[in-house]
Amino acid sequence: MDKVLELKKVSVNFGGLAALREVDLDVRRGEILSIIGPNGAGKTTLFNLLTGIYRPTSGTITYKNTVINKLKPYRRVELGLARTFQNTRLLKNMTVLENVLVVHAECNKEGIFAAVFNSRAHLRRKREAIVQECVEKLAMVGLEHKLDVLAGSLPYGEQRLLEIARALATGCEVLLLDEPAAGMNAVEKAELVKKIKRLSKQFSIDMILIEHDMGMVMEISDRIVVLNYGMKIAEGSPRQIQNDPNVINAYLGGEAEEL
Amino acid sequence: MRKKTAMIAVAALSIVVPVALQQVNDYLLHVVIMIGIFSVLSLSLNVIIGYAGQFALGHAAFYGIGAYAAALLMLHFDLSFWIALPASAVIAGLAGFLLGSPVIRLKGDYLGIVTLGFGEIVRLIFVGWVDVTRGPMGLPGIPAPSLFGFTFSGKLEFYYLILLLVLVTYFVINRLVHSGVGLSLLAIREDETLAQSIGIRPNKYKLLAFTVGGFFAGAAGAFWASYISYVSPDAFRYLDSVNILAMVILGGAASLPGSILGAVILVAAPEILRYVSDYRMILLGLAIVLMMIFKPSGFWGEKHRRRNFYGNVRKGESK
Amino acid sequence: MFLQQLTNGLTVGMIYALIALGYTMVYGILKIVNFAHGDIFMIGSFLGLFFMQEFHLPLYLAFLLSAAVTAVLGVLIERLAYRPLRMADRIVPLISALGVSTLLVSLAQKLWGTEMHPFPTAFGSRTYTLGSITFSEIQILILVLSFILMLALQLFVTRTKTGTAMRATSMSLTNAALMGINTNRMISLAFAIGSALASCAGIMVGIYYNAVYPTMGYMAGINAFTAAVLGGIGNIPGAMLGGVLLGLVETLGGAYISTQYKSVISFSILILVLLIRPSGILGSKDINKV
Repeated sequence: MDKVLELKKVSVNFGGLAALREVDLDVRRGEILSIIGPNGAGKTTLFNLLTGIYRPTSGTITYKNTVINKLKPYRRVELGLARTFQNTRLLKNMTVLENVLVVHAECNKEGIFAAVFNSRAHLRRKREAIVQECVEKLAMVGLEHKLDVLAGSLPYGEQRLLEIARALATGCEVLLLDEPAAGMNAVEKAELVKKIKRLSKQFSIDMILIEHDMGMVMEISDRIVVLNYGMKIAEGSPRQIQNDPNVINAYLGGEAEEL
Repeated sequence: MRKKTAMIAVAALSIVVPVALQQVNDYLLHVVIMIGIFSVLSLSLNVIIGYAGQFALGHAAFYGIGAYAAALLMLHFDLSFWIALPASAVIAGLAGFLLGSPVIRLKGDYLGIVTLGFGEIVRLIFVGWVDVTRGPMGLPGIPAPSLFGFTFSGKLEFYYLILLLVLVTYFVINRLVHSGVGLSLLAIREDETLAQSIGIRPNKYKLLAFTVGGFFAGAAGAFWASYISYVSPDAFRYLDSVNILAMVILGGAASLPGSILGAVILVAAPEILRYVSDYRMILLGLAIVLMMIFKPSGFWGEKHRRRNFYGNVRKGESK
Repeated sequence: MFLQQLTNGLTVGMIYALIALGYTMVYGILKIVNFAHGDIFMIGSFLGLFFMQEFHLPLYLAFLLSAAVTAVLGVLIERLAYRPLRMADRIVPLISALGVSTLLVSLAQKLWGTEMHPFPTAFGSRTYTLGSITFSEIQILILVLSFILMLALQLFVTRTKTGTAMRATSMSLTNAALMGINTNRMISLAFAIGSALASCAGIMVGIYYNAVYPTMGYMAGINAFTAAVLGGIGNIPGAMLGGVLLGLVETLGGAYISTQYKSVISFSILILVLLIRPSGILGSKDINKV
C-alpha cells in the first residue's frame, strides 16, 4: 500500500530526556491511523514533530517521498499536513468564517497589489468563490449556520469541529486530530465518529488520531500504533491491539478495564 | 444609504470649510494641515501596531527619513515634488523593510526598545552626518510643489494636497486591511504560533506591515518638508514617535477612522486648550495612562470592526 | 591614557548597573519593561538638587531623602499605572508606562524648566592621582557607593527571608502567591528598591557631569536597559556585569572610535544582544512551549 508519511528511527530529545526513541511509523493512503498510549507516552510530541514545531534529534520524516525534517510549520501546511489541537486553538476574536478563510490558500495568498488595485467587482467575484468554498468546508462539519459568530463564543464541541473545518480548508491531504472527542458527550462523540469516517472515505483524507476514548478508537481506526515511554510497543488492527500482551501490560492499572 | 449621505456631507465640508477657515485665520488652516499629516502618520503606524500587533516605537524615524530624502532629492537633484514624494516614500518603505528584517523575530517590549533605538540612531545620523544633512542646522529652502507653472504656495493649496494624501493613504490601507492580507495580519496579532501552524507566514506579513507603514510615513515626511520648506532633526524625536503612538491608541488600534480621530484630538486639543498649553505633555501622559486603565480599546476601537468583511457573506450563506 | 579610560568606563558602568537593577527586578517579577524607570532616575537627581539648594542639606541627607521620596514615587506609579492593568494584554502596561514617562518628563520641565542645572556642591572636584590615573572625588564616591549598594542588595536578596520571598515571586507569581507570599508587597518592594537605587545614581550622575535636566533619564534609561539585557534581564548579578561591560565598551569606543556616535554604540550592542542572545550573558534560556 502507498505510504504517504513515513518515520524512520525518529528520536526527539529535550535536554537529556528522550521523548521519542527510534520510532518507526507510516501512514498509508486512505486509512485512519490511531496513536494511543498512556499519558506522557509521546503522542503529542509526535504531532508536534509531524507539524514542524519540534525537529527530530535523529531519524528522518518523509512525506510523499521528500524528507521534511527541517521544514517550517507553514511549509508543511502548504504541502498538505494539517492538524487540530488538544486544547482547541482558534482565533477567538475572529468569526467562524474568518477562522476558515484565513487558512484558505487563495485568501492567504491574496497579494497586496491585487487587494489595493483590483476593481471592487473583480475582488467581489473572486472572494465570493473563496467564501463559498469555505462555507462548504464548514458545512462538512455542520457549522455553516454560524458564520458570523465569534469563534471564542462557540460551545466547546463546536470549537473542535471548527478546528477540523479549518484544517480542511488548508486543502490538507493528511489530517492530524489531537483528542478530537475530549470534552464531548456520548451523542456528540457518535456524531463526530460519523463525520470523521465520512471525511476520510468521501474526501479521501488520511487521518492520524490521538484519542483516549478506547471505544471510539476501536470503532474508527483502520490501524493502531501504541506508544509507551516514547517507544512504539505495538502496531496492528484494532483486534490485534486488543489482544496484544504488551499493550495490556502498558495499560494495566487505571485504564486496563477500558480496553 | 445614510452612510452615503454622510460621506457626501463630509466630502463637501472638507472642501468648503477650509476656505471659510482661511477667512478667519491662516493659523487655523495650519492646524488642519497638521491634522492631515498626523492622520497619515497614525494610519500608517496603525498597520504595524493595530493590525500586525507589533509594538513599534520608532515611527518618527520613517517620517524623518521621508522628509530628509525629499529635501535632499529636491535640493540636490532638482527633482520635482511629484517625483520626490513617491521616491521618498519608497525609500522610507525600504527602511521599514530593512529595519523589519532583523527585528521581526523579537516580541513585545523587546521589539519596542529596539525600534526606539532605531529611531534614535536615525536621528543621530541626521545630527551627525553634517556633510549631507548640515547637522542640527537643518536643510532650509526646500521648494514648494508646482504643477504646470502653478506653485502651491498658500495654505489652502497645501490643505488640498494633504487632503489628497490622506484620502490616498486611507484608501490603500483600508483596502489592504480588509483583504486576505488583513485577515492574516489579524491572525498573527492574535496568536502567532497558531498562525504559523495553520499555514500563515508571520515574517512575511510583519515585514509587509513595516514596509507599508514606513512607506506612508515617508510620504507624510516628504509633504512636511515641502510644506515647511525646512527640515531639521528636531521634528523626529522619540517623543514624536510616542505622540503618533498615542494617536493610534487613543483612536483605537485596528480602527482606521480611530487613527484619524486620534490625530484630530491630539493635534487640535493643545491648540484649543491654549491656556493649558504648558501642561500639554503632562496631560498627554496622563491621558495615555487613563486610557489604558479605562478604555484600552480606544474611542473608536475594534468593537466597530466589521465582521466577515472578506467577500459577501450573505450570499454565501443563502444556500 | 588607556587605564584612565578604563577607570572612566568603570565609573559610568557602575551607574548603569545601579539603574539596570531597577529594570531587572521589575522585569523579573512582572515581565514588563518599566519605561518610566529612566525618568525616575531623573526625578531622583532633581530631588537631590532640590534638597541641597532649597534646604541646604548636606549631601548624605539629600541622598537619603530623595531615595525615600523616589521609592514612594516608584510604588505609587506601580499602584496607579501598572497594577490595574496586570490582567490586560501585554501591550497595555507598556503603553501606560510610556504615558508615565511622558508625564514625569513634562512635569519636571514644568517644575524646573528645560535647561541644564549645575549641581551646587564643592564635593567631587578634588582629584587624587595614582600612577598614571587620576581619580576625582566623585568617581571614588560612585565606585564605592555603587559597590556597597549592590553588595547590600545581593545580600538582602540571598540572605534574608524577604529577599528569598522576592526571588520566589520572580520565579513564579502564581506559585509564590500559593505559598502564602504577599506578591503585591514584593512587587511594591521591587519598585521601591529599584527607584531608590536609581535616585542615588541620579544624584551621582548630576554631580559627575555637573548637569541635571528633564530628559537626562532617556539615554541613561536606554543604556541601563541595555546593560540589564546584556547581563541577562531578570538576573541581578547580570545587571551589574552588564552595566560595567557596557560602561567600558562605550567609554573606550567613545575614546578610540568616535564620541559623536557613542550612543549608537550602545544601541548597536542592545540590538545585537537581543537578536543573537536575548537571554544575555548570565540569563537562562527560556524554553518556549507550545
